[in-house]
Amino acid sequence: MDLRAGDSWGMLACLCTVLWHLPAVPALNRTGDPGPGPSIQKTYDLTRYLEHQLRSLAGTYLNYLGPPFNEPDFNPPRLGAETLPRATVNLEVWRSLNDKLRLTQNYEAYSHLLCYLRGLNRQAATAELRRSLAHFCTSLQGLLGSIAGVMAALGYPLPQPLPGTEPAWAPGPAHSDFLQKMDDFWLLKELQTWLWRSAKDFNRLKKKMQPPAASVTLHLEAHGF
Amino acid sequence: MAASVPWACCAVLAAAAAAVYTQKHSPQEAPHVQYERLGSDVMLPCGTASWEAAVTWRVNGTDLAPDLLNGSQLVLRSLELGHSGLYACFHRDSWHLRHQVLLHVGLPPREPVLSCRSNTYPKGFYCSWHLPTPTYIPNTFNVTVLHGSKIMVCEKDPALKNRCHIRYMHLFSTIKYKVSISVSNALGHNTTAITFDEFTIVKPDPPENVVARPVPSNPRRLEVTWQTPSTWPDPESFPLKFFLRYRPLILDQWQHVELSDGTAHTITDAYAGKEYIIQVAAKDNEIGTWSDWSVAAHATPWTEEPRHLTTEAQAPETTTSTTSSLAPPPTTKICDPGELGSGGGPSIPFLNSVPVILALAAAAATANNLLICWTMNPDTAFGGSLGPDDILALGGSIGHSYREVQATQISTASEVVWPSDTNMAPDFGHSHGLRCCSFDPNATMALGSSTGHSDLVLGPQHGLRMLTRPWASTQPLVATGATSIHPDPDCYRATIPDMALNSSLGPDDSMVLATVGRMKELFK
Repeated sequence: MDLRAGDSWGMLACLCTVLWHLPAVPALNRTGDPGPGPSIQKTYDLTRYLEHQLRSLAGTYLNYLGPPFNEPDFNPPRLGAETLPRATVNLEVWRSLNDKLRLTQNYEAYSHLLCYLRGLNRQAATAELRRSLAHFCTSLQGLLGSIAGVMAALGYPLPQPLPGTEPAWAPGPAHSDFLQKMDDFWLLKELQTWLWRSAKDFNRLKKKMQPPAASVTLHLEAHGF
Repeated sequence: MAASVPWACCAVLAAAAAAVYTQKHSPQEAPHVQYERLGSDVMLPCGTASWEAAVTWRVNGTDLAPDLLNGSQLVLRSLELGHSGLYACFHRDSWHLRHQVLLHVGLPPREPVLSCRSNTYPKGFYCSWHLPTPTYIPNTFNVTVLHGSKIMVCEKDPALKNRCHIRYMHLFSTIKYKVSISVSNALGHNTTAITFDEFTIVKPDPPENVVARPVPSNPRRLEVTWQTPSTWPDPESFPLKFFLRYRPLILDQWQHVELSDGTAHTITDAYAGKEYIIQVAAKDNEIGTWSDWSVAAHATPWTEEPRHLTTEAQAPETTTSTTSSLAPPPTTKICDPGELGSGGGPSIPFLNSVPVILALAAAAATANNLLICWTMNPDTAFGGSLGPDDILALGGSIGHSYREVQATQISTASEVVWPSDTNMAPDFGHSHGLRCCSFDPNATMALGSSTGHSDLVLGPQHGLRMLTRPWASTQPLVATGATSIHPDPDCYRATIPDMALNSSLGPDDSMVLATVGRMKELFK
């Protein structure tokens, strides 16, 4: 089910942007043990910051969408929005994720979410909303960079999108206005849930990597921030 | 021939006697159970007897006046709770039992109050419910939990009748949970439902074992340690942050410290020589709400010379006069509920203005939680019900005008003694037969009440209702409002304001009664 009518090129471009503007290899000043600890802490802090930002952004956006989306009891069934990366996971599976998988899932989720958000931005009606969304996108890109940095520090490869597995962005029949809004609603909901899950993910990573006396600084050379 | 006649006679007589016997003593049928609404009128027919039949009605063995009869039917108007009982009608002349009705007077249920909470995240959550007003007849509750379209099992709590537990299968779900409850009894039914996201109901239990210690050679320091609540299953993956508050007893203002990790903290700005009260609360690092405040810890910073506590002078007086009557260990010293009946019978006026004498005895007992309370009726006017699973919290203000409640948790339910509830006169009802005795001379007393909360520690934020009643020095405290407390002859010290409250209660003091813990409807 396509989420956006049209603008498939825009989507691909978005993906390219994300992939190319990542920190290449972070410059490690190895003075001793490479401690990804500070970097994980920074990533954790970023998720908290983003969650805080999202709260006000989502409130504004849902009000813009109007009722019933901005009602606190709104509890629709999850139809469509199938390509959205879902944060929900079985408790035991989540517990037993290895570090690489945990980081990869986070990275892939935010890559997709960032793309969708950029699509949202394009259609946002008011300038103020566009500004807030743009600001959020920038911060989200920062988070992506941070995650990439952690993965690189731990020696994990960044996930590459396989050709042909991207969501089919073929410009299909125009969505009804309501369904479009539903998609927006679920996007924001998944973002919120992912940020909250990431905080727990990075907490877990942090605990596992309690650094001894870490004395490494990671330089994240992220372009396009 | 002659010999068989008397034998036949005997047989016939025996048979006749047996017939009469069975007719008189075995009921025609089992009593018919009937539920009627409070305040309504009911007409009880005498089984299949015709309207003109001559019958006598009895209730619980007592004859009823014939002016209540309409023909052979018993008419009861404006039913009250006292009308409940076993009604039997007898054939007037033969006293042959014709019909029995077991009448229960009650009410249809009002909308139940439902709340859910996760204190064991990420394992699961529980939901608890109660009825805002009693129905006086048996109720059945049915809980359904929906996660999107999926039905989840809510397992009944082994100990509490008004609680069930749900296990999380998936975490980080964007789909809300919907919990509905329906309650029904013979007179009606009602339902309610709540919807929530997974992360909004997360609220840990308060931190445990809060201990505050003076630091030797440091007159302005206090070292505070605590433990994460034992119900929180995974503090490693789901760390808690803590909020500590402290103040000297003599001041109103709390100091606050938020701590992102660790279970210890040193206060460095304590006033020298002043006793402090310290509490800690916990919260998941990212989601949910703060727990209630923990049980308070008291400590006084280290001082150079030993202090003479004023209570030491008073204690011997009260101890000597009370230990004789309170010699057995507190847990066995249970004021006989039978005495309560005599002390506080139906002559107690319906609401308010009952003399209250608080009983505190200076037993040489261990420090905390030595409190024994009774209620004659679980439906005391706390806006809910108190029952065997409830915990009473007392906090207090001594020698000062009312302050924020500091609740001292009674940790084990076994120290709160509840009488068996089967014989409670239902119209004791809103008379607030709550009696408390404490054997802890250091117990601070505060009384207030909260409605419909199932938290462990109460504070003003829970809608505490306060009885700010000055204590007249020559008269016992009169409790008004929703609660009152009955004196118990074995436990109270009459009219002496110098209760062992570790100082005196005087004209400027005020009292607040707090109930905490699990409000629950008694299921009959």
